[in-house]
Amino acid sequence: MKFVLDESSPVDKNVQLHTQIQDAVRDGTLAAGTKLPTVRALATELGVAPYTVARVYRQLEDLGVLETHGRNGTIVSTFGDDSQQQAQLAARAYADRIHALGVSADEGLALAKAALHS
Amino acid sequence: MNTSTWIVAAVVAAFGIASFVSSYSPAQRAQRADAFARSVGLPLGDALRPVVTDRVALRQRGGAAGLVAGIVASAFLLNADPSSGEQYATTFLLIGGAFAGAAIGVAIAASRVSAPLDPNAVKYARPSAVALSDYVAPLERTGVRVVVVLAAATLAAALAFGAPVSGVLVALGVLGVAALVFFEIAGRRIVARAQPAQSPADLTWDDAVRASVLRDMVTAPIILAADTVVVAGGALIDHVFGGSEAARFALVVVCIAAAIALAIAAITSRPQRYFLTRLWPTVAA
Repeated sequence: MKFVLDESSPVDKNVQLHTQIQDAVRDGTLAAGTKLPTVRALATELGVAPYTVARVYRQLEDLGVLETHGRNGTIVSTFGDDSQQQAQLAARAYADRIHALGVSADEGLALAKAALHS
Repeated sequence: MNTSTWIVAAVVAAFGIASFVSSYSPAQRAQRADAFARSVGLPLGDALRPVVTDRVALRQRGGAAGLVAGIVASAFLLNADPSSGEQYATTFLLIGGAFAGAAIGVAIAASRVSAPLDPNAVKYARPSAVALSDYVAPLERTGVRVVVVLAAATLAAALAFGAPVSGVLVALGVLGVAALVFFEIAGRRIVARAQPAQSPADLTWDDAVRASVLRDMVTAPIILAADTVVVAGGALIDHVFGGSEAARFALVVVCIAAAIALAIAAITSRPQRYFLTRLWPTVAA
């Protein structure tokens, strides 16, 4: 999945970006705990002013979709009740560990499935 | 430095100059770009060929210029201190200095790249932040730290046991640590740079070049630290076992076995394609 800004679209760029981030979080493409690009990097990549990206991030923070942790950047928020939130964070931690070990996503998924069903 | 070390320096410098000059030859540039495309397993279409060819040539030029600067600086420093000590350490420092220079050269070349976007074109951006671990395989990322720690430990043991340790050997060890620190800091800065793209293919190729630059940069601390282990280990074994031939032979066998094991691991894990499995799993499949 990629963010795509269409210059010829009549829809404002900040609305395009806002919608795409929200949709990606909603459909699970951006999982809870995923770190988003920095404001400056994303603005350069999309050819918009940093203020535009910062404003979208702030709006999504207000909606509870994103959260900012100072120097650690902006991440996708957890949602649901307490146990669901804990489960999402555990899934993120497992995914990060699997990546750090150099194990493929498919293999990591199979291992998690086997562990959950045993 | 003696004559044989000067010859090594001259050969490495000549290789660097030839590589720098060949990066301006259209035929060589095209050949390099095709070889790079094959190594990462990506098709090089006509639309992206000029950009990728330029990026590959720039990386080659940066690496070659850095290599020559590194070998000249090392030779200058070694020549300024004739009391250098072991011949092996001198040659290893010379080669290590060349690799360190090449690492700095590719890092500078990578930081000078800028891709102007067409203001009216559609723009693509990755939705999540990337990290150094997305470009450099765990084998190399962990391996470099292990080898540098091993080098520091071997050097410390040699000093603790009172083995003859020259200034050149200490410089080799310090340069290895410095190269690791450089890789960790400069690598993160390269990864933090924006990646303007007008198509997913733009982004894939930018990732490919970025991964190759970071892999070039991780080579320097590995070479320097491995050299330190060999020379400091040799000095330590000579000192502890009183120059025993059997002990020296055992060290050589261990070094060769480690080199073969690493080469097999590197070939089978295909680290040059690691970024694809992390960032472009559908392309990698």
